[in-house]
Amino acid sequence: MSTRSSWLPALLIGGIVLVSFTGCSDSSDVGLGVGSDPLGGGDPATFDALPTLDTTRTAPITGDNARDRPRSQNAWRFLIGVVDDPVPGTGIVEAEGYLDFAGRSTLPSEIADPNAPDSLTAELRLTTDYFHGTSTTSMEVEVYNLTEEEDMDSTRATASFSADPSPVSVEMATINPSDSLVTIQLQQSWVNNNLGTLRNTSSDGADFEDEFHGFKIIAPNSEAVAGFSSSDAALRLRRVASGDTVTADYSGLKTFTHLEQRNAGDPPSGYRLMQDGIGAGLSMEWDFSEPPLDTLESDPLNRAEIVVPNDTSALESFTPSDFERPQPQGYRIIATRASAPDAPSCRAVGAVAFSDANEACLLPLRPSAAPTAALVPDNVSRPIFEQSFQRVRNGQSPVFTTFRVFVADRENTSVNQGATIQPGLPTTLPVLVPDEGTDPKPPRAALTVTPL
Amino acid sequence: MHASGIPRLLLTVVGLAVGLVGTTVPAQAQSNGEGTIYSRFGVGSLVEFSSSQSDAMGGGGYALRSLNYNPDANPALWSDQVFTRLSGSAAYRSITAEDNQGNSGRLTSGNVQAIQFNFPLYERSLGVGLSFQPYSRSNYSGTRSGRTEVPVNGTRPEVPFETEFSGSGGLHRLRGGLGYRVNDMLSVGASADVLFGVLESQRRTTWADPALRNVVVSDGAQLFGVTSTLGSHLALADVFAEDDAFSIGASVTLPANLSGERYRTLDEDLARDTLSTERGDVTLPWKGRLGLSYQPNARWTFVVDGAFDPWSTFSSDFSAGASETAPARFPAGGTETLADRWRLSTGAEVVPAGGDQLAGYFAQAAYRFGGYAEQLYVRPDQETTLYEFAVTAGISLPTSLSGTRIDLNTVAGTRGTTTDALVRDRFFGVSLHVNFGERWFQRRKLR
Repeated sequence: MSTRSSWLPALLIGGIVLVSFTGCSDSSDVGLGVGSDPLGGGDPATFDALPTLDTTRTAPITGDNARDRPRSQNAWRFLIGVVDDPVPGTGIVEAEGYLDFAGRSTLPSEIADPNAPDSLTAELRLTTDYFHGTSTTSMEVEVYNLTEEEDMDSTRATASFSADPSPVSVEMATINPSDSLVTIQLQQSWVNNNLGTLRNTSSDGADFEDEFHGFKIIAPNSEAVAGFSSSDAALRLRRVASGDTVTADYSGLKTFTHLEQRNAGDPPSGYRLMQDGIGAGLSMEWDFSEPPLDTLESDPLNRAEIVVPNDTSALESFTPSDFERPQPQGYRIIATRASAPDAPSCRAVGAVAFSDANEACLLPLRPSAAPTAALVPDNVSRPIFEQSFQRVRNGQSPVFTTFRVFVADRENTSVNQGATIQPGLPTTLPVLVPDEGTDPKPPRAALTVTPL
Repeated sequence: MHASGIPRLLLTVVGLAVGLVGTTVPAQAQSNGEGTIYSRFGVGSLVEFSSSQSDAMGGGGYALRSLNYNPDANPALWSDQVFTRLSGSAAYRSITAEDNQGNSGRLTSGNVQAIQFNFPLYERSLGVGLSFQPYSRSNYSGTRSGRTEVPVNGTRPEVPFETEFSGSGGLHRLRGGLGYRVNDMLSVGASADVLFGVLESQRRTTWADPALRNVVVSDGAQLFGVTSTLGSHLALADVFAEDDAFSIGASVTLPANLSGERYRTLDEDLARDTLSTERGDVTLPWKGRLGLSYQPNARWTFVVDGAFDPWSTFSSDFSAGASETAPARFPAGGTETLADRWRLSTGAEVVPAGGDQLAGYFAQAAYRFGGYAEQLYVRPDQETTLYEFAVTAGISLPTSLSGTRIDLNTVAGTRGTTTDALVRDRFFGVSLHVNFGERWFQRRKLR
């Protein structure tokens, strides 16, 4: 018994050792071609699925109220001026800025003193954060009183608000947009006529906000559009008393930009034109019954990206030396869900619901791809196409019917996934999207598949 | 009943079963097997194992009767049993495949060869045999590398990928039957054979870049069926010399109709998605076995065996894959890739001590050698007939337990050819066999 006790474990261990010699191999391609039905396939391939392109136009939201602004959105701007961009098709874009201020609960005694009204002056102080147009010219600006209190928040660029016919700014007020801070002097008569309002600090400034409706600022004869930070805009009251200067600033509360386009023509041949401000965008539709998508519906997807290129070189070729045009810092792609009730939700494909009805989804984009492209990364594009292929196989419609692309300037906002769903700051920037050619290629879904 | 014998053997049975089964599971999961590309065709590489004794003597042994072994290939041999016996085998094999370009690949593997359990109902008259062993194995692996342009953040860098083709699984055979000794010369036997298993081929495309999704496409066939084997054994004495023994053994396995399902899946494990399935039947051919055994004296044993399987009669009503999502054709390449199989083997065993129980330990060991030639049942290019040649050898070590032996076998051979885009395998293997034998159900005699 003792003899067996010694060799039985040894045998078991020996057997286990033999069996454990499993799968040790230096696998090669030897033998793959054996037979009349050799092993093959499995080589991934990348296909560009080109969508049908069309133009779309949706006026962007240019209104803002600092009190209602989302925390993630730390900046806004308003625009004034007129730009005639040399890029064909852009036409002449005119911007009117609207600006209202928050009231104050206190004022320095020197300014609040009702016995020295004639020594009080007022000016608008604006911080420049955008310029699009001819760089050598100064801008002549006019400021008008708004006649009514307006709700500028979330207002689209096609809206406009009524203003008094006579300007309240001094005659021939000019600004130089190349300066980081510009001032617009207001007429003394306007100060005198509004002393009561300007000195009204009751209700923590709420009464001032009720009585003062804001300004409309235009630069009708300019050759550029300038943008100013909403948060940094201020109405400054100044009094010089006994050699000392005392100031009080009313900070910007609400801003809005009204934008209009005139004389728009055709974009350059081979391009589609997107233009921010006037809301000119691109609409894309993929037909899953046409090549190559109709041949890929069963193939596993290794990777997918939706790419909408911006031919920055072509834009550069339309830029005279004295013309400044910043690059767009971001884009927005809004996808419209299929009307079928069982269409996957926005969240199911990694997107964010854009509308209350959950009909439109905002697709997260890769911020670093801008300005040369709007790029929907793999973690969003792949679920979209995987689920679309699956639905098409089952006789259903794809997840999304239409993808709409717009410019969304992301300057001065935090660059992260969450930020890409926020609307971009107002601009007037054009984008040229090639609709043919190879470098850059037209908008596409680049799909890497491993054929079954 | 032998009171103390049962616990000892039970312990052994449990220990061996736990050991072998425990190692079988991970081994199977890692796609073990013989590792030849030819296992991709038909129902995989056919596996024949009768006993460790016959394994070292060329692999036949259809007429080889021994009290120390219970050969599985011929149910008639189960009639002559004295011990209750449990046998287990584990094997290691290394294969190097070479093509006509001089390229080569190597795959090593380990697996459980068989588990057998036999006991006499009536000593040396009526015996029972049970066995579980592979009927076939599909096991191959080949990898191709490539590079392709992939969209990554708007650019198109070339990214390397690998496509691995592999086969796994196979059919298993669960056999149970009886052997009956009609008289001193004639024994007969019959068994019921349950065949079942899954044959799966897999194509795995993997990327060096983890951001790219790997793709695994699997084609499988899940089959189940029942057949039976009939065997006979004729034992003659004093044929060519005094006290010699000459035996003739034969067995026939009836055609087996296997029903099952083919499938094609995408991805693996919990994410596995079935793309399509198809039910169908396949019919495996009958098998004929014939063997001769001659023992001129107690020291020497010689065997000559032949086998024939008309695989050209194999039929399958699975349709050829018509669409991308349909499972791949089964068998690979169609039934035209199958041909009749025959196998000739011979071997010898010598026990230097003969029947001398007092001889030295190594004189009581059995030394075996043999060889075989086989025409394979697969013809991948539908033209070239493939052969396998091998030599075998082994040593059987006695233990302190009467009826229990430990065998160590080895095999080396070649398979296939490098002509016509085929490959030649050179293989080498060792296997460890444990044959436990004890008396159960023995009546105590009054002294």
